[in-house]
Amino acid sequence: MKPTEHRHAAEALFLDALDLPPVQREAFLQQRCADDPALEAEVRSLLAAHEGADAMFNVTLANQRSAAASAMTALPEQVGTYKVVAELGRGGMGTVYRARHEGKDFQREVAVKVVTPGLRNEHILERFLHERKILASLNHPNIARLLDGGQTEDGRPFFVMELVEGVPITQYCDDRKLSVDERLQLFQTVCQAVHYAHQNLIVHRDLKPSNILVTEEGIVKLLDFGIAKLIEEGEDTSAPHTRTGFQLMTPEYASPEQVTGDALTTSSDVYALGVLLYELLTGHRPYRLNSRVVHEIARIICDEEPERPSTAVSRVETIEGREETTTISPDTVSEARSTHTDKLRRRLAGDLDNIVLMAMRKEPDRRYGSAQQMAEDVRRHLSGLPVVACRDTVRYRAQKFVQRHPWGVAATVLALVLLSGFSLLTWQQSLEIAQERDRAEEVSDFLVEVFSQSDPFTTGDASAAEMTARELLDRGAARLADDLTDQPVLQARLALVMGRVYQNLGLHEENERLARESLALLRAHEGDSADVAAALLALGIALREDSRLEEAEAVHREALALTQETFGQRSHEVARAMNLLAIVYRQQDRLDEAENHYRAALRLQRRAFGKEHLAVAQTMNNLAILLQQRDRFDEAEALKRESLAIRQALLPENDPRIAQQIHDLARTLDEKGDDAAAEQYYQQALAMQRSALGDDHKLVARTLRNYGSFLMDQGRYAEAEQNLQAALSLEVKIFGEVSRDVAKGYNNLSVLKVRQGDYRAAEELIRKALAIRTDLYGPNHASVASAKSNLAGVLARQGLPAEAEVLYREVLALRQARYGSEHRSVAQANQFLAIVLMRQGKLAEAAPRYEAALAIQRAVYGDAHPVVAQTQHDMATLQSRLGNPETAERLHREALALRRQLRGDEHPDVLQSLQSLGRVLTRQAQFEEAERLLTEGVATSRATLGDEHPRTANLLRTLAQLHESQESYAEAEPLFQEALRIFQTRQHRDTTGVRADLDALYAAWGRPATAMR
Amino acid sequence: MSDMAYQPEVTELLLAFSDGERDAMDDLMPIVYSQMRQMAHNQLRRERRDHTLNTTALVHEAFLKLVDQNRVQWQNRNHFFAIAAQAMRRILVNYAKMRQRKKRGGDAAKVSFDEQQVLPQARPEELIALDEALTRLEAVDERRARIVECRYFAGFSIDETAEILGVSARTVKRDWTLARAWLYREIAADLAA
Repeated sequence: MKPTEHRHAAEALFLDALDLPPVQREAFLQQRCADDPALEAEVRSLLAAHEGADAMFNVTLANQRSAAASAMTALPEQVGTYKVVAELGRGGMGTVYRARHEGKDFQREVAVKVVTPGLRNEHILERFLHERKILASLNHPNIARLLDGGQTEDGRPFFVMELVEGVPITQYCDDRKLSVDERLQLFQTVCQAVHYAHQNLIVHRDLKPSNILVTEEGIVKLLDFGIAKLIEEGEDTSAPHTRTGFQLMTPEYASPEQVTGDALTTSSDVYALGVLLYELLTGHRPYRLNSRVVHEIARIICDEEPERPSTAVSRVETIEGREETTTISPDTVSEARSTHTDKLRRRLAGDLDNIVLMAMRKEPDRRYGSAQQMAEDVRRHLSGLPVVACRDTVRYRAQKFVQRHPWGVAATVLALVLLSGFSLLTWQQSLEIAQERDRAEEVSDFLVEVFSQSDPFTTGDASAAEMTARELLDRGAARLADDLTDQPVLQARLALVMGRVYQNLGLHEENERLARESLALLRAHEGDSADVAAALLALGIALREDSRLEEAEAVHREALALTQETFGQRSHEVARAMNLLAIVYRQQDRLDEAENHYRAALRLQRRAFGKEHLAVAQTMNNLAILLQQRDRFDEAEALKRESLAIRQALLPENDPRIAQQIHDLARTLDEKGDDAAAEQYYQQALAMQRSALGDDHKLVARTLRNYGSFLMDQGRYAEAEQNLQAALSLEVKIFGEVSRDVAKGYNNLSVLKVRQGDYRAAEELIRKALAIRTDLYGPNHASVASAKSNLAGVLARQGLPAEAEVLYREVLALRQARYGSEHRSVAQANQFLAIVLMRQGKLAEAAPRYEAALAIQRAVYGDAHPVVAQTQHDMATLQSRLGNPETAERLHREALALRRQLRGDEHPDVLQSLQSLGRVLTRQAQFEEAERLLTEGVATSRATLGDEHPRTANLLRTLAQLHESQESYAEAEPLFQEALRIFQTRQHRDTTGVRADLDALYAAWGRPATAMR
Repeated sequence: MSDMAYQPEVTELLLAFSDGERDAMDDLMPIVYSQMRQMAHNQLRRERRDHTLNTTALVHEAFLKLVDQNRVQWQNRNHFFAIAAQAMRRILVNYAKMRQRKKRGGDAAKVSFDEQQVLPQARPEELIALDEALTRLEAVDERRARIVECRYFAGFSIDETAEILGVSARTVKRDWTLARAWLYREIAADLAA
């Protein structure tokens, strides 16, 4: 028998046997398995298992379905005279039972709270008896009444209260997805009830959601009024850290005076109401008290400012329950409030932030005077009236902060953050930060908070601020290690924050060092955790920013794997990790992998957030940038427009992310050749960024640079130079000389200088760029190739084609190795190589280079594109030199027509075509048309490029040659003279050529050359 | 929290699966799992009275909340329940694992006071052993594993399970008996080892 058949036979016999009465099974088995002991053994084993199975499955099933077996067994039959029906809950103070009171004429259900044994509680009952009158007198529809109290047989005090069947207020609001307004209304009721108790001189002391229930009918009931006090005062107050029932209460709701053991007043309840409102509005508690070390909790509650509610809603928080971990994200929070994250944030900003934070002030006398006052302020807010609560001023808070931490790490960090001119806007909204948001940011929330409202230290002179910031930062980093050795996780998180600040100052190495330190600490203390994943991402970003792409890739892959493990394969955290890895791939030119990762990230995010979400927009934009790099302009444009629409729908009008998106769209349109739209978007982006970020922001620099390049392509050199120079100065200031952005700035200016005809300046600039890039990336990087290519171009223009040829061949080889042969940059290298070959008279070698270039370009860009025209022009020049004037003429005409169509009549490229076509026509004796074209060229060149431009000189010279060909020497002579003067001034290589032209003219004219000079 | 967040997508995926998109099932599982885990958590927090995680009710509640009733057929409904049963298995097993981790020198102090009151008391070792054995059973006979999920983890009756899995009640009964014996034998060996 095969194993499967054997199994089936055994199972069939087993089932048959089960159908028999147990006494008959033995005989049945012996009969059916007589000749197969293995079969018999299997069936017997199954039968034996069956009995155990029944027991096991029933027991465990019962355990899950009716749960708390241990609690059930511990259920007392009776408490005092109350008959226990079920357990309602357990808390730090005791266990609450649902119980029945069997009166003579009536029966009622009540809640009975039995104080947990083990607490020092001998005097509780005594006190209760003392105060029961007052407590029982609390007669308010929103306060659960205290009915009775007593002592169990084993001497434990218990309290009997009105039975409330409801859920915690937070839960109630979330379940019903109550809006902010509805929550505020419920909250007002809570305030009124608390105020009523206060008027009766009873302080609750333990207000928290589980003590504030809401019934099915929507009625708020506050439980346990006065109980905390009774229990607390029964305790042994001599033991440190057990006083005031600190360990009994929910620490997140404890006021500073509560954790320090100072006198509790009604103001402590106001504080707790502030915390409650915080949680109702944001879904988060103001502090994350992961540590249960008492002095640490006390420190946080007494010293740290809570994050503003409007900021807190952006937080992603993971709450570890006993059995599972819950993640509170901006989406779950806004969903539960029937709104969107951004709307919620705006709703909370201002009044509600102020109301909550006023109630939660550290000093009792600076809070609301009463719960009533707080309710009143909420009412005013709901009615659209100005509220009493106002913000603490920055100065006030900074002062308090420094008083509390004269030399603290945080104060140092704070000071440097302020001094570095770092604004909240930068922090929250810059594109990269948005991408790189991680848990480290959460740790620093209180820092952000302090400078969130205004940033008085922002100074125009960022370099001076940077010096100070750098020093402070270094000092802060050192203190971080010294002062927080006993809190490694906090230390690690703060180190990540500081790393971010370093990164912002362009100090990649320091960021990397801090990220590595954090990583080591977190690994040692947390193992593989979300924090570790965050640290890996931070490290990856640092490496990527440092252009160490292989290392960055490895780190990001590890981060991705860990994120998948920690958050689940399909979580949006995974999407973020994928996004960051894709950026690395893109920079590595691994475009397929990048695209795959972007698309995967997009799917996850759409799944997690829906289609209209900022994260989705961000990834769409990233993907679009990639597609643009792959020359898929239409897809890129569509994605960017969609992304823009999402951002416009979700963000306030002046949000820098909208400006950024408009800029990105302009880039695509620019690349695609839709010039009018591109310019409009560039200008719009620039204006928006300046107003939102200030004039000295790196994003402003980037837009200036790209707009400048665009203007240059338009031939608007003066405007282009202005923009490019502004961008470069800004970037030197922001990033320092040896940086990617500054290299790019030099490169762009150099290209502009070439276009303007100032080759010496161009060479100097491009050599700077090349040196910086070689420094940064080593000799084989794509951007080094492009700098080399540009240098070669400048050299060629200066009459050094042999040197240029060497460089171009290097560039071509490098690019073919990197991109394969079907890439526009390969086309470009071919084209340039052809030009310098021509310059050296290697005409036969040049022709195939052009053919290759043109074929790639038509495939990549389509037939109507400026680069196609340029190649046509260059091919025409070659054909002319090869002695094929008809072919040359045809190609020049095509190029000219295309350029006029694409660029308009005043573009320098059109001038180039006019000159070339004019020359070819002259040679073919088509003088009339040649003169018309060249005259147009000279006039346009004077008007657009100026009288001193080499292009003007060249056109003058060509026009002069035309006249000379027609023997109109008198007309030719002044044109030659003017061209000569222009070339001489610029020490242009054509100076000698024009001089020779003039000599020939005078010779032909029959006049002595010397006389005319 | 956001019980309703994925409703359209769950429905879409169910319909896509009916249309023959096999991948849709893979996409569905994590969504249903995370939603149900949240719901289980909510249920446990809410039901202070008897601390019950009523898995059957939870699965039904999940169906009502996550699936657009107007758009789905009974086949879709059955697919959903089969997935929900699997999700329930993962939820309960994860609870067990988490508790075991906590027991093994986990940081009990991390548990917030509010939450201490309410979570179910299963026998973690047994549940984890069962889960592992069930994974082995899956390799031998997948249908039986699904039946165990429906019966044991989701608490469906024999008839319901038969409908969900599209087999006869007789088959479910037979396989359920066989699966239990098989699993018990495996687990007994595990727990003894």
